[in-house]
Amino acid sequence: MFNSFRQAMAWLHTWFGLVLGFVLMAAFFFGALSVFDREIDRWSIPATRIEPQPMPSFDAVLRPAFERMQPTAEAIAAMRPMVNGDMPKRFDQVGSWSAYTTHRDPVLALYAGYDVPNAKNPDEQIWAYATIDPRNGKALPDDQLKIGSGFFFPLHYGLTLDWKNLGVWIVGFSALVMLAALVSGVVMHRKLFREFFTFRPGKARLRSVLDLHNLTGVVALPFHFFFALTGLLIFAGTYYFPVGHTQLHGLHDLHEQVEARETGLPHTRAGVAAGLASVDAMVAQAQRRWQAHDKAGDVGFLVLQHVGDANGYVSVYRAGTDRIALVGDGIHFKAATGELIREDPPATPVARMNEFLTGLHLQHFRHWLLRWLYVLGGLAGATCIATGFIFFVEKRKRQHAQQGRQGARIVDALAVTTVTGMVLATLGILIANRLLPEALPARGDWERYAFWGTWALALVHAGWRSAPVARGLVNPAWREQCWAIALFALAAVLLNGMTTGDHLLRTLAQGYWPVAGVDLSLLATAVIAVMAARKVGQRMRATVAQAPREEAVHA
Amino acid sequence: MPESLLDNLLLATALLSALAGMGWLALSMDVHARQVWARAPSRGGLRVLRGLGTLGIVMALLLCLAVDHASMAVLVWAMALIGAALVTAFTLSWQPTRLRLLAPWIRDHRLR
Amino acid sequence: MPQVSTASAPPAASRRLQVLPRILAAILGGYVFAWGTVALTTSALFAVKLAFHDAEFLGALVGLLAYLGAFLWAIATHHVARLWMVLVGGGALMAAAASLLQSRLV
Repeated sequence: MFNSFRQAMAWLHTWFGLVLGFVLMAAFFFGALSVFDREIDRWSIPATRIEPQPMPSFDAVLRPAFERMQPTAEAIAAMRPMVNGDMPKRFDQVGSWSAYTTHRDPVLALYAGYDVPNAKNPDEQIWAYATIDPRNGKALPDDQLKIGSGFFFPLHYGLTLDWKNLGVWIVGFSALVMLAALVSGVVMHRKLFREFFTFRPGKARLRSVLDLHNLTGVVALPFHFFFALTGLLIFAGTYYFPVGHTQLHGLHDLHEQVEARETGLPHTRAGVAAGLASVDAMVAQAQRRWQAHDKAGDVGFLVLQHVGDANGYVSVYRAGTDRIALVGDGIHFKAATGELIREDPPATPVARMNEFLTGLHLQHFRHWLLRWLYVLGGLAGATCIATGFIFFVEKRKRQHAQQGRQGARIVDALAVTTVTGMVLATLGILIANRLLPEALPARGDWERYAFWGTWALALVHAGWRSAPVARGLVNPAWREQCWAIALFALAAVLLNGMTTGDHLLRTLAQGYWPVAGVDLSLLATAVIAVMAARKVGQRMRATVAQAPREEAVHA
Repeated sequence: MPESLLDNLLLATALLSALAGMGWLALSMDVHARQVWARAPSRGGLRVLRGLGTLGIVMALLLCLAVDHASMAVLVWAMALIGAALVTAFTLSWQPTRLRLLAPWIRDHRLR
Repeated sequence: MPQVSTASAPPAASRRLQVLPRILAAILGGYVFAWGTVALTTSALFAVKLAFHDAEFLGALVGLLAYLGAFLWAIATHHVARLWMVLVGGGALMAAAASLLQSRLV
């Protein structure tokens, strides 16, 4: 079909890059925002603007909080089809209680899994969630949308399209295409090393756009490749290739039985009731043991399995704050007596590679410089994709104008929507977050409508203004949306100051970086948007004035 | 994870070292050397620049390793190189003569 | 499928027809091939006494890279019939071998 391998790779890069590029923009941009997801949460839920806390006392704070938890009415209704017969009013047989925290969490997330009597699948569990203030165990209203960790983060890996996990599959496929685009890009780019530092903004538009596309793609090539690959690896076992749960189910079960025997951690309940010893004492012992191995650390993850049963056990995991691995060094105790069952042995070399690869993507480590460098990498990726769209349009605009075709115009409108429109949607949800009444029921849903609604408006605007592209000119929507971004970003900062009192002067004086950081980033966005709007405006005037003969540049 | 003022200073130095390293590597390429000076230095001069570039990049890695656990240090270094390469490229695009300060021993060949 | 002559490019319409089976092979055939690779790698590594989760992880890593390779090959190759045979046939064979290994171990 193609005359050469290079031509085939060019076709692949262009067409798959174009179609999946729209999804990849979202994955990269919201991935970059997710680096600071918990900080965005604090901006959006002012009641949580407290300092991050270490894992609190189980006996004093967590146990009462867990005992108050029950699944919501919605969760019970969703479970009904999986049950033969009646469903209880209360769930009292606790499968597990768990609490997870990182050095950036001011509030604590609690998870409780309950056994479901009469369920079709005997392993079925129903879950309850709670968010508490770790200083006193008070529950925080759960219907407040955590815009960072509860919206932007799921958006980046699944587009919040939960029906049959369709969103996760779409993003996964786009990650695969990303890998293919990187390889094919390298094959196409004949002067990879010679043009490593090359960006010629003064040259003809097609050449300078291509230069920027190549620069942001090549310079950050390992970053782009590893993030796409590790993202796929993280979900491979659960979603994309669930071989262990399906075809090789037999091997999986065999392993679990062997593991239960070897580790002494019971897989199922004994059916005999038993009490709970002091978990705080177990945590203290765990911390002493880590210290003895030169690995003093905080508790990142606390799990109680088979609660209330003689087979119950407590697992204490160390937070990976100072290394790439997420949590590890688990130490397990018998729940009823507090005696040590097992200290997890050091990880195998393969397990260490696994921890490194997933840890570098999920970033629970404490390292502000590295986080900001990650944001830089994510923005480089987004720039690479955006310049890809612009190159595609620029290369075909004149030709399509002469032939009366609409292709370039449509792609351009979609590009505006995906680049500036996406930023507008992000700002839209932040503004809605500040403007909506605090007591509004289902406030989180309204915030989400604001996001999608703003994006839809951006699409309509981009399409409506795109007629000049069909004549070979620039779409004015680019400049108009850049000005809108500047306006919205400023509005968001002002609204935060007005509605919460935590304006920049105060947060900077107090050194409260999560909120100050978001406000400063919004201001920086406004400045960049104004610069971009003026640049595009200059370009528009130049194009209309001359209609230059552009070299048809091909990579 | 960086704990102290010393750690932050070491990281700042690592960033500068990465930046200098990338700058020297760029200068060691004929096309960029000609952007910065009127005439590119001799083959030997370019080789010196390339050597300095490698040195700068290696120094950056060593400085990162002095601050963090190896697994983290390698990532910090790799990402710092990306930032350094971008800054170098944009400097070449907009203010190429600024890079002269990386090799002050090379005199501007236009001046006689 | 006839060999495309290297002297001239085929007309747009027939090119579009040739593209579709290529894309399907890349996406669907590639997935089958990847699944087989994951399954065989996982069970083979478990068979040589690697911990199950380690075998699963390496299986996923090798499988994803195999999917990438299959994808690129599907777009670049001239021999579409051979492509389908290797991707779907090969994937099925590897999956069968994995199940065979499992039946020996369980």
